[in-house]
Amino acid sequence: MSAVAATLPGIALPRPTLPERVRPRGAATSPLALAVLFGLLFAVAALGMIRETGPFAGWQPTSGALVGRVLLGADGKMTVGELIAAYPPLAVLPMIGLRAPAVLIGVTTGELFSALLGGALAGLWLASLLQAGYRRGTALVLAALLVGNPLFLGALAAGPETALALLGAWVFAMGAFTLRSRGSVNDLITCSGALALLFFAGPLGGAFACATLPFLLLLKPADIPARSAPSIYLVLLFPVIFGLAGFVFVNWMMLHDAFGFLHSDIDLATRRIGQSWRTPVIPVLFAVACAPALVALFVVARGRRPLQAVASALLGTLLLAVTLALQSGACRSPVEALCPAVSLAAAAAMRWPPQRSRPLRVALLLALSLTGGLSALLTQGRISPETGATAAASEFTGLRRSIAEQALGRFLAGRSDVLIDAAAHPAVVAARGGAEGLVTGNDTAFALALLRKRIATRAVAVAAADPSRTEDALSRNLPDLYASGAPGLHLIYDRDGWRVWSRDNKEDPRP
Amino acid sequence: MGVLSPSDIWTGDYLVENGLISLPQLDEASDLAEQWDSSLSDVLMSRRWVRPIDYYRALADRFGIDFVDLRADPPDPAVLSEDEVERYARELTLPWKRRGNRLVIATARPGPEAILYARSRWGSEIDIVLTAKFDILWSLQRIFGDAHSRRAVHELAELDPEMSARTVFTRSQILVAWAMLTAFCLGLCLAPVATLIALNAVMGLFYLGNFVFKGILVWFGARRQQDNATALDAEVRLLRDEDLPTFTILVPMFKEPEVLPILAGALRRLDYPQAKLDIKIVLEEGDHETIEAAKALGLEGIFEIVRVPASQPQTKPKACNYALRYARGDYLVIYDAEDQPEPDQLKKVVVAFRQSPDNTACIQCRLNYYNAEENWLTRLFTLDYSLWFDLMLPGLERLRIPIPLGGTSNHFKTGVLRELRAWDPFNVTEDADLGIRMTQKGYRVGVIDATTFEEANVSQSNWVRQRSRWIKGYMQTFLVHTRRPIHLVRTIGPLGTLGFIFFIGGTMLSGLLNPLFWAIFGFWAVTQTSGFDIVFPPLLLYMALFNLILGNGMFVYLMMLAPFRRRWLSLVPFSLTVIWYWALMSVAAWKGLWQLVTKPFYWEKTHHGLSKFTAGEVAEALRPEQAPA
Repeated sequence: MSAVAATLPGIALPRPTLPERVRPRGAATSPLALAVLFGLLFAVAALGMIRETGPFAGWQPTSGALVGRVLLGADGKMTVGELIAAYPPLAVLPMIGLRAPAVLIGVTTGELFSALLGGALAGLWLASLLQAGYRRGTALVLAALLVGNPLFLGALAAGPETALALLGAWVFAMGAFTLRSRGSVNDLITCSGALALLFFAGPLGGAFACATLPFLLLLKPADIPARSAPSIYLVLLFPVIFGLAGFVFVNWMMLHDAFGFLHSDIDLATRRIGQSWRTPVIPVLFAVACAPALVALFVVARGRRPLQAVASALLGTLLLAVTLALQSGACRSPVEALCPAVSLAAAAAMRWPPQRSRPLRVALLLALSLTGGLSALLTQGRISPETGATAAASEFTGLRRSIAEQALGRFLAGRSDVLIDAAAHPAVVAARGGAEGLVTGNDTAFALALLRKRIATRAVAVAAADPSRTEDALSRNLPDLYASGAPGLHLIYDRDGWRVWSRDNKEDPRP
Repeated sequence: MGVLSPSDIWTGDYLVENGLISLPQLDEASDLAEQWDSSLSDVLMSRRWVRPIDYYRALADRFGIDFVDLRADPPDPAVLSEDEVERYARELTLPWKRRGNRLVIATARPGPEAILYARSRWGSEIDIVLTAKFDILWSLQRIFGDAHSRRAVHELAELDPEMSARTVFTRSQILVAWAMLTAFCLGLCLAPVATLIALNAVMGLFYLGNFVFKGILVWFGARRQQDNATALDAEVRLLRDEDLPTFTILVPMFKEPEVLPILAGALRRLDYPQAKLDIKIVLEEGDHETIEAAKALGLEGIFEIVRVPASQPQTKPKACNYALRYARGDYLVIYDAEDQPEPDQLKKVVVAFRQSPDNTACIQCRLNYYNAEENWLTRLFTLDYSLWFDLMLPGLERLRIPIPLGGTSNHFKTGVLRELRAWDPFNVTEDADLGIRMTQKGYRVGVIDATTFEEANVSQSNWVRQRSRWIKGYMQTFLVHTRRPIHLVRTIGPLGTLGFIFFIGGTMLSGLLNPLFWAIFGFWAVTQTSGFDIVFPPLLLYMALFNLILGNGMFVYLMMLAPFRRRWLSLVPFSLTVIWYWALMSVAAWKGLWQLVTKPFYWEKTHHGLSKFTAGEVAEALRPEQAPA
């Protein structure tokens, strides 16, 4: 057993299910080397793929904000406190750490982070398949089917939050299988840690974590009585609950607003779910098509209740997660919401019961999963309007605003001495490519502008007042700025609720 | 399966002929002796089927040799050697006195083996007389008691002074502490803010390391436990009684007569050939109350009362060191008075020793509580113990970090224990110290899945007393083993040293520091003062925040996980109240620190038998005793 595989969450058991081959001396390390090589190669390939997003273009509604915050933090325009007080908090600090190498190789930190995470997942999947007893050739084919799945590639293209959600979903699924069958402390740690990872990874992960709630009881080990279910829930959810409480405290401490992070899309998404519920039927059907391994596992595991219980729990979670993600507007594309299916398919392949026909069956199911993902991707333009849910949710929540901010960011690229509350609109910074040249919340000039109610910069970008969003300091403190500008300023940009006023010669404000 | 020796066969017949035992008893005893590969006398005594004095007198008649009552006619000290005492006790044979040119040997194991042994030891000019087993042990204690008592107290300190806590602070430690204090004061005068920031950073890093380390421990400690436990159970089932060695059980007690019946009941329930048990109830000479209670119980021949002569310090390790002189077993275990070991524990230990590397000197079993559900404190204490023994100690074992032994249920190879001069009587957590010392001396400590159930403290004041002693002992242990830092790193390795610092140092230091940080946090939260900002520059602030949220959250979470292995899930919600338990721990830590300075060797006694569960256990244990009456 390789050292790395042995330390992977939940991989230690079950033991290899197929007869072990006699390995030559020194062969023990080669699976590890193979997995690392595979992961590295995939990371490089993924980076190239992410740069040319192709069919995944426009999948970046949330990571824009994340990348923007990272850029602001890296340029010293946001304090670490502000960075960690914003949702999602997990990827921010590692991404800041990746800033230098990303600049060196000419990519964005988000792209590099996603590619590295994809590479790590590819390596882990290969190692886990080998650990599960598949022969090397078979394992390589299965791993290739998994990483070649458009859902996986799309998740990486969608950004760090979606990629992290994939990792979280896989770790959770792996832990779920062993928790139900073995019920050890490590399985609990794996599952509860994965739930925390999912919850704080981003909106899609959050939707997935919430979707697990009705199904957690199915993961209860058989030797634990039903009356202990509340304790199981408490242990599994404690990291999420305590993390959330900690997040509230950090917001209170750093921003003096305990629920400041809720002013983002989260409250809107929650309200949206509460106001009208429309099950996105076609994406839910696609979810089944993208994870046929779970359905097949349920059938194949007849007589093995633990396997069946977990397979049904994961399938139920996936369907509910897709519904929640689309209903809340957490995902721009319905196909993005389907991405965790590939992680669940991977886990199912690794936990497939020992059978002589296992390699062929699993390969076939993963190929079906790949086909399902491809079909979803090719028809994504039709799925969205048909369900209506995504479009409606997007109208209601952040999608439209996100598009507007990206457009403004592109407009501001190359302009300097621009006053803007960038911390409230980090997607603008992401689309602009950096925070250099922006006068933002942490700059003295920004504070002076608010105090003196006078604009001293060359330009100012201001959003229309939005009753549902109060975090923009400019529109809050200078309520007339959007409508009337300021003395000496001309309107040079007016689009989707954003205006840019400038001292420069008058430009045509129309897009 | 052993075979009954000819002398045992004759003896058995003789006992039946004289009406001392019945024929069915002889048959059963013979079967057991063969099954256990023990002598007939050991089986009969262990079953209380014959009074020892009747047995030995009958034996003397049968062999046609004299019976001597060593209490009335004690051995001549001139023919005894103090260095041979352990051998006398093990062989139950000693020189009694000289008669002319011939040395008279008294034995409690008459037969060809004893004669051969005596001739090989003392030559052919010997005569053999018979005496009783307990008289031999009693005589040895009477003659050598004072010398053994002195050695029990001072041997380690005299022969291995660097490993003894008799000196609390060495000169170099005082010098280093003084230098650090001076540097701190100088820093406060010359650059107060920078000094405070540096101090804050050191404490922050300590907290960070502490919780990361304990998280890693739990992860590794919990891995593959079920597999190991299943394998151990299977091996135990394959054991044959005849292959089992003699096992010494030491039960040090002080003024605890009320729990004696529980102990006797629990030891009788052990799944181990009783004839191969050498149980010593170790009592202080002046503890008449417990001595009388033990006598009144009319215990079987496998039980022996060892009276420890009065001397200072009056501690459990001193009593154990004293009793160790008379131990006859290949292995030795310590149980507390109220302990209830799982019946197959000794067998599991034998298997574990046989499967472990040769340098394994100790197997630590798990401790937990039978009165977990009694009140809030017992619940939290159970969570604490479950975390410690079920998750952290196995983690230490896996990562090869020195294991501080728990208070009881640590099973030793008797020879190694003697070689290391056993427990440090000046250390009030002598077991923890011994575990670290063993690792430093090149021995290994293992942990197995076998539990001893104890009585959890039901009262907070009693708990604080007990915990303050433990923390004081940890401080002593930390001070002893950091006297030679380079030697420490060389003997237990860098990881072992780091683990030792965080596990022993972290446990005591976090108890001391927590109130300080809680006070700062509470004051800041209430007043929102910016006065602390100066010592919390951004990086430190984020680390402190990380420690505050993730550290505390993780410790609560670990407490939550602790009962999972035993499926005691009703305890899980109580882990949310652990903050008060930590507060109690801090009280105990400060009390321990105070005592380390004022009375370092004082043994803060924990009162047992306060639990209502214990009362029930006592009643239960006494029931079969009372039934015949």
